[in-house]
Amino acid sequence: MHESSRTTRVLQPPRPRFILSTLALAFFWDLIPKGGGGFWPEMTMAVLTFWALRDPQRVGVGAAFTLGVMLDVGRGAALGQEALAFVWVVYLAQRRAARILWFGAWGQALLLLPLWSLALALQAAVRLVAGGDWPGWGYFGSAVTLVLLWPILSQGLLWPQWRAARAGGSASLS
Amino acid sequence: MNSPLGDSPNVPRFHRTMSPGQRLGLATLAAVSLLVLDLRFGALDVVRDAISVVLRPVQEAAHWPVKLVVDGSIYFATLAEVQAENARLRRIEMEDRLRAATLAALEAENTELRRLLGMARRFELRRIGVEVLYDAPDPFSRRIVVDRGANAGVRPGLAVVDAEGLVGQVTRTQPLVSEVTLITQRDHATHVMVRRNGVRGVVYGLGDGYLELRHLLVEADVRADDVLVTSGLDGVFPPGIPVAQVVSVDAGGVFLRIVCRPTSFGERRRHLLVVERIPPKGEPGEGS
Repeated sequence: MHESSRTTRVLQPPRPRFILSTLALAFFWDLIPKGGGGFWPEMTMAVLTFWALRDPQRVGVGAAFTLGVMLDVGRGAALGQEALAFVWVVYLAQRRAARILWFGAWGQALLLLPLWSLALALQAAVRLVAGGDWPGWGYFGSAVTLVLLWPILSQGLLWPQWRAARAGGSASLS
Repeated sequence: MNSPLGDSPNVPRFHRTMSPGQRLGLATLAAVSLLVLDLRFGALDVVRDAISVVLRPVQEAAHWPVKLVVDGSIYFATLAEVQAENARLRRIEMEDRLRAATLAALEAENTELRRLLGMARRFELRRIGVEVLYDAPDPFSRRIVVDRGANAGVRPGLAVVDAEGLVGQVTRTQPLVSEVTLITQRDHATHVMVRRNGVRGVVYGLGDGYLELRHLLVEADVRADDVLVTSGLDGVFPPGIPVAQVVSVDAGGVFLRIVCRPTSFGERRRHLLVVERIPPKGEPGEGS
């Protein structure tokens, strides 16, 4: 079953090292030059969103900004472009965390879709104003890919905490 | 949201001194400033370079999967394809050798004539063979990354060509790789002339794979199928490299609307040449 605010299980807090390594892995994925227009998931954005929802004390606007700038350099994008988008996604995700986490994985994904689309649109707006090329509609497809990926991703990222909780024996509230 | 934290003794103080909204505002401001500085003034190359130093090993590691896929697909190309290509290349090589022989004679003659006329010598060319690694992962621009960088003498501004013509211009270099902006990038400008009659103008990328020759009055003699070559007037590109072929000429208004197709295969080629125009020795050179 998927973890949402309705589940009664108490999760272990995520380990900082785990958060860091998942972000690093996502960052690495985003640096792989994939070509072939759009639809590739923006993993850094997705993982940032996840931690913004689950551990807002550790992953917030600052982390989003830092990773965004680094990704901009790594991808040769305009400096600040992804930072701007990530910052807004993380902020909005944190503000709506309580409501979003009330839903199951698919519901969460659908609530997150506008956020991710906003992030892509922000980047497109900035670049088009500055005279960039129109990237094609496939560019926005990556938000859809994230929706499809979200159930697996969020489950995968929760798994260590869930397992730790089970091993700890303090299985459930009620 | 903006409750007066800290003023009241009942409210516990946390490390966090800014509200989430304030943080967002600050980060947005910072990001927008970065964007303006970068896009409008191009003033952040220092920052970029500094972060690049840290990121470079990660970036190189991230290129491995791509290299594997590309090399793998080449490895598994069929024998028939390779043989056909080999035959084609042999034929081209023969033609080229013949042409090179006559060219050498012409070059000697040209030098001699220029000497007699007391004209400055023509430039010399330095060529650096490069291999395309991948398309730059930025969907808003048409750029490719090639496998030679500053260490091999590649500098921003140099022309990049394939056998058919101009592909683009080096816009950013790192020690081991460089980034080439294609001539089809929106508003990327190249100074050209019509090969047939020397009419000069500037072609701009349209962003959809085509180019536009702008600022030519309706009287200008440009026709469909005319070939545009680099004029060399910018002092960076060698003159005479084919850039584009005119597709359509539309005379409405004061200026002609001339749409052209690039002659090069651009990003679809795997091997390209970076060409540098070296000013002849004994002359006050342009840059080093």
